[in-house]
Amino acid sequence: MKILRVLAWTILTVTAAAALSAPLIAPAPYEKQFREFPDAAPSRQFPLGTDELGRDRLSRLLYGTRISLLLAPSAALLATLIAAAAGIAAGVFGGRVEQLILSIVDLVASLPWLFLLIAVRAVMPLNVSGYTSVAVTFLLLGALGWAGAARVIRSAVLSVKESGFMIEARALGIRGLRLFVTQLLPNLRAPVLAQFWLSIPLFLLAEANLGVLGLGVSEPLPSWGNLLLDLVNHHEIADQPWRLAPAVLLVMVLLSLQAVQNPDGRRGNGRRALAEA
Amino acid sequence: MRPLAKGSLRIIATLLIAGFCGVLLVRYSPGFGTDERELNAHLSGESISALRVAADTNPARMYWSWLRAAAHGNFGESESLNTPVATLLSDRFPLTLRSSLAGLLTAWVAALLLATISRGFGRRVADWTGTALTEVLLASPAGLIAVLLFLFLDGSSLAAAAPAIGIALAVFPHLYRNQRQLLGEAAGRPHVLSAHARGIRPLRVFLREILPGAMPPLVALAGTSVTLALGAAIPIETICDSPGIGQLAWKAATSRDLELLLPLILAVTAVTLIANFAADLVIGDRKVAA
Amino acid sequence: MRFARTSFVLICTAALAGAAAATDHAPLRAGGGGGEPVWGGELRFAIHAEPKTWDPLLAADDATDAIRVLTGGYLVRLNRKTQKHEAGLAESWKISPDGRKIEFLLRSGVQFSDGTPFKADDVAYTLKRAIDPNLHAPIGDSIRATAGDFAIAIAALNRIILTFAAPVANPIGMLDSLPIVSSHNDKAVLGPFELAEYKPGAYVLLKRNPYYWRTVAQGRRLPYLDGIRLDIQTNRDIELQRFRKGEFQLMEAIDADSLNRITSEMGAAAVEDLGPAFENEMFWFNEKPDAPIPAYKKDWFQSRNFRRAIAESIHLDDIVRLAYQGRATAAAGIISKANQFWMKQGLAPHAFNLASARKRLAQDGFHSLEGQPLTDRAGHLVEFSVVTTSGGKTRTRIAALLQDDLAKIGIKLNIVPLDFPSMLERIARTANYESALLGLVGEDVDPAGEANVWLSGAPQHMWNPGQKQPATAWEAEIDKLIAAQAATADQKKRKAAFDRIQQIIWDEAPVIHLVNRNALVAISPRLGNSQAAVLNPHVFWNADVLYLIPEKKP
Repeated sequence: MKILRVLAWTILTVTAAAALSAPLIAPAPYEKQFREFPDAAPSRQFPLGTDELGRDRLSRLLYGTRISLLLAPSAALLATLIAAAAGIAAGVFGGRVEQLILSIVDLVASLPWLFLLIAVRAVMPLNVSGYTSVAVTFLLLGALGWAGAARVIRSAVLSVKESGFMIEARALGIRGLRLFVTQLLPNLRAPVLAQFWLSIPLFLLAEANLGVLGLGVSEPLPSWGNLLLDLVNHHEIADQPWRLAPAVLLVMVLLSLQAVQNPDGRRGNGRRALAEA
Repeated sequence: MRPLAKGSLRIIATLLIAGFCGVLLVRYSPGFGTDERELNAHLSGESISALRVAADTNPARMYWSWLRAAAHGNFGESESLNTPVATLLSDRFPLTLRSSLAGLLTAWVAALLLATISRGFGRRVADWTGTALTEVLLASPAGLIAVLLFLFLDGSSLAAAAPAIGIALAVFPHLYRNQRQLLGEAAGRPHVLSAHARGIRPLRVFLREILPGAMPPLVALAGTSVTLALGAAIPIETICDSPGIGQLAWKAATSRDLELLLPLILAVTAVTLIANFAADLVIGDRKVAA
Repeated sequence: MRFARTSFVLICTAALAGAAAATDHAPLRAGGGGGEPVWGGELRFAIHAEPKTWDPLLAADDATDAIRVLTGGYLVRLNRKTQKHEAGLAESWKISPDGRKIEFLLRSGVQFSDGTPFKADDVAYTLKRAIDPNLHAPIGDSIRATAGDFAIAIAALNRIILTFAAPVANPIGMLDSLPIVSSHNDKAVLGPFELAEYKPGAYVLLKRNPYYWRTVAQGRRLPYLDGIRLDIQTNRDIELQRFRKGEFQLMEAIDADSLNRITSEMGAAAVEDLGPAFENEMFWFNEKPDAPIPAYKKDWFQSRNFRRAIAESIHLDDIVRLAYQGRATAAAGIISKANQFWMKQGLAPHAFNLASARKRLAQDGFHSLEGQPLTDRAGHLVEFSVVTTSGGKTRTRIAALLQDDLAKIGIKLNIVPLDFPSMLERIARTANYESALLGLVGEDVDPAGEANVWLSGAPQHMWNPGQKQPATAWEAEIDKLIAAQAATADQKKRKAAFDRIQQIIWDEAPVIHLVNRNALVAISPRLGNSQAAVLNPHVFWNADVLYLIPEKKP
């Protein structure tokens, strides 16, 4: 397990460092078209080959990682914060507040927000930079993608409220805000974090799917989303396995994130919280 | 009986609001009411003006007249498909129901099994299998999964099951991650630990201590997973070429077909609301029983 | 002429002026080694959208057009391969020397699909209905635009005479896409197939018309096929997959990637490159005076120097090579190279010439230092956006190439991909865009039918639609030329008018024509008698004689 965690941290660190230093280490600017070498195989000049327009795939992957690794967690953070606020409020207050929040959650979960995303693109000025457009897209995704998580967090609140140590804590005379801060919140850390990690890949992929509608990252900016879309062109993959690099990197990063967060679910937070109390 | 009546009232009110939000979203999305024939060079100026004459576009009035017609059982006609909406929905519903149910069931059984073995009994191999599967699936766009399914299953005896398999694959990672978390947490509770310490058999601890502790959020998860399955049905049915509700929803969205979208939005909202409400009722009953 | 939603699109109609050069070199393709045609079987292929209407006269979209071609009966048939008119429901016809009268002798003994006889009444009914301005039929609007008023006289049960107010250049070409409908049963058709079943969003099933008039030896009635199944399939990858598995027997429009794929798997016999298609990939600027964009940008776009400079900065050859893998031709104007009669001889694409582009920009007061952004006279950075359809691989590549080319002269081009309805709203209604990149599909060989694109007052005049008065002298000249060619039946004079229009558009460059893609089709080896042609529809235009060789049982 320890080796695995070290490995995971290494992967994450190396990926993050490579992405952050993309301008320094990328062999070429991401938009530079080497028009004489379209669809080239990996070589010394192009370590991962080039795309149809002769752009260096490695450089595009590095820059794409930069954008996606920065923005998807931001969107996930936003979504998780909203979900936590809504879920905790619903679970703690109960009654009408809970009913109201749950109704909103259900609404948010069921409405076709695709149209809102399309409308936002229409309202945005035509000449916004690629970075602005992609940031707005991710923020919107975050602002809309919290409903499922809110329900799970609210359930977690309910089950923590009922759990033995809460009853014990109450019996010890811990009440109100103190009970909330010392007992409830620490015990919600795990489910809230789980929702956070869970939503990162969701946002990464949502951006990829939106690209088809012209709402994601637009040319020439690369992102994991539009690099992954390239794979839908499945029939060329067998001949050009290096094109799988973005997918492999994505899976590796996600696995590492998983290994690094909650390494052993059996170490209960309940016990620790009670011990601290 | 009172929670049921109150809950029903809440569901109906939420549905009405959802419908109106849906009308607003579609009505104000760019390209609403456009017609590609407007660019047909054969048409005269008068014909193009005729195409552009729109019916009432006030969203409140649109919604009101739709509701009134719907109350009389008239769900209108889809503009993009030139077919009564009621016919379209009743033709396509059974297919999606079948594939969603089959997909959900498969995903639940698989996820619960893996999560139980890994969290309830601390089997690392099961955990790694589940986690690896989850991460790979989470990293694959639903569209990509559907394309692959289509490639491998089309023409085989499993072709008809492709949407169900797709839905199962799309729902599984969410179920597994949540279940793993929930069961793990329940397994870490003090009374479980002390039960282990007392030398009670793991199966008994799991059934008596762990599972009941994780039950309420698991039931809530069941509600959420219905919505997840419906969401996954859209890209999967579209790509697997399966003429169900999901494919219909995508066609309606791309053509801004409000008449068709509105009942779909209401249906999805209703399913979500009812599933979640039922989950809440179950949790509530348990509370009373406890 | 209509816009291509994606970078390639199925198109299904064409009307031909008598003089287009014929390219009759390929013999009939007999599937799998020749032999006798086989009767029966169901042909299957994809249409890419829902049919919008079942009224053949209202057909205005690709899917409806496909059904119209397969079910409609026509007075004269255009042989897409020889590009010559053949007798259809009219056994013969006579045009008066002054071009003001045409007389048709109708085939006798022909029946509609419901068994009722076909008469001159039906032709009169169809014509009157089509040109009714309240019907808003594209074919009718087009007939009224080219022929003006005309009188219809039924001379006998099988003779009908049309008399025009003024000479009409090409009365036959005008009628070869008008399906004759029944005056008493709107479901009855005269074509080889009739509608059997429609499952919205899934498929359209056509079955053989048992009364179809064309026969082969021994008087047996065509078509060979029992039916055609048109699957409504918007996803081209799935369409390709189904073709590869043998579930579809033809694809009307494929891209170069698919062509290469099919060639490598099924051999070169399964694909055909028909040469430049009647389709234009083009880039234009919004010159509408009241468009909601900054005034200084309107000044750029309304300047001929600016537009020509852009045209000279684009590497058309790279677009052909990188976006189409060589299967396209650099375009010189809106009339495709495929249209050999009407395309102006000697008109060449704008040559790539950065020095000249810089000179033109300098004349307009733009300036930049080497490698620095370009600024206009007032110091504004030259940056503008191009709206384009999202999702299509080819068009995305073209946009990226344009962006890179313009960067070389210091212009920043922002690409705004939009889904089709959003794009449509911007270019056809709100004019809220700066420039646009789209494909335009030509449906007619004779440019007169689609003159609305040229006329300054028409809503389809894309760079500045619906002008009350022509905004520029050259647009006024184009309006006059269109009117002049419509008033004469003399093909030479008409050709001279359209040549001049093409030259004006080239000189002024309100639209920069980029490339004509090649028409690429895929045809299953099982399909017999296919005669793929560059006119649309490429493959199924002769569906009545197409046949399917049964699959060999393993």
